[in-house]
Amino acid sequence: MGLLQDTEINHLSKLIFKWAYYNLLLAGTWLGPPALQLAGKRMDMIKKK
Amino acid sequence: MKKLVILGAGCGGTMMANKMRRHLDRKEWNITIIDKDNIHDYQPGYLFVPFGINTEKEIRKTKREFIRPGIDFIISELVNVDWDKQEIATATRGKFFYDILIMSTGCDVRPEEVEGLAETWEKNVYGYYRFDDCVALKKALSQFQGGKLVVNIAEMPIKCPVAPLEFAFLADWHFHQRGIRDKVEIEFVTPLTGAFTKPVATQVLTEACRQKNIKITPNFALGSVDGDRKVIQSYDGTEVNYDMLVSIPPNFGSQVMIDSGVADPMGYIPVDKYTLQPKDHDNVWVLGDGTNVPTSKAGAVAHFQADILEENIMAFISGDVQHARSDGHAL
Repeated sequence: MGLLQDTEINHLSKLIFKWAYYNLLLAGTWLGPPALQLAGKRMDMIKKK
Repeated sequence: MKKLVILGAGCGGTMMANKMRRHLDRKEWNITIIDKDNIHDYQPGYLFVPFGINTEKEIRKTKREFIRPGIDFIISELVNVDWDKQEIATATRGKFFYDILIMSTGCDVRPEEVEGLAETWEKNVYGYYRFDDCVALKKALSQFQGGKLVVNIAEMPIKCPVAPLEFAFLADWHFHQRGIRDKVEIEFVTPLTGAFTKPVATQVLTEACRQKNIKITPNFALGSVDGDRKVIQSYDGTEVNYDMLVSIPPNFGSQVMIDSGVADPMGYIPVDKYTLQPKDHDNVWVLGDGTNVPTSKAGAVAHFQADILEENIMAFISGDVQHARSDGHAL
């Protein structure tokens, strides 16, 4: 529930994300793989082309 | 000179144009990105405009300022996409031929798809998925002195599925700030079986709604809106009354894609969910909200899809095996 409360860190995170959106995301900067890329995934189920 | 054409200069298209310009030699590859206008909206900011947290200046910029040098930016409505002829027709700038096509044409809300919704829009029904709607909602919210606020999702899929709940939470905060929360009833009416799509998140968010005194009405498939009676009605005849309705209308992909015969009836382009390519067209890739891939319609998903496209398109150009696979992640 902590993430859903009114906190300064929550507000700050939104400001940082907006900066990252304009300056990193749109520029096409590689930001690393998804943090949850493999969590809970059945990789054997993913078909290879 | 080989040609890479990108349709849509929103989040996905701009990312791909900038990524590919870094990779492709300017003497060998011309990159063209086409969009109907030069306005780039920071869509995560829409949610905060009605509450006066974000302003137009903060979230509305030009598309051109985010597109790298060496990329041709064409402003024109699309008219037709022909995958067989490898040809894009525009309304005012003629035709463009491509060797590689990247499509990122997004999706938008269509109030006219629900009986009575478009007729009532901005009378006692508002939205926040288009900038002008956000501005109208801001004015309406500031004049709202009490009564029942209903937040309703017409149907899934929608852009940023968690945004309607965020809106309800922000409304709770807003009315507290104004000292009128005790005069406002907030009801969240959704076609889902609970507050959200996933069971663990639903459990947590249901508790958050309880703490904020937000009523959840699940399993409500919107059939019509009666603005005179201030009532929404489901297909099974259930009615929910409101004083102000914040509606999330049905989302549709691009009409041009439907008319071009490359999209399903909802305007979403059918692609392999791992490779993000349409069947039988190995020089076409699609990313973002405009695909029929069963994942969230969100900028974060488009971002990770762009990484997959970048790797596979470069492999395609060099004749290598395309290994990268999208798994739909947003985080």
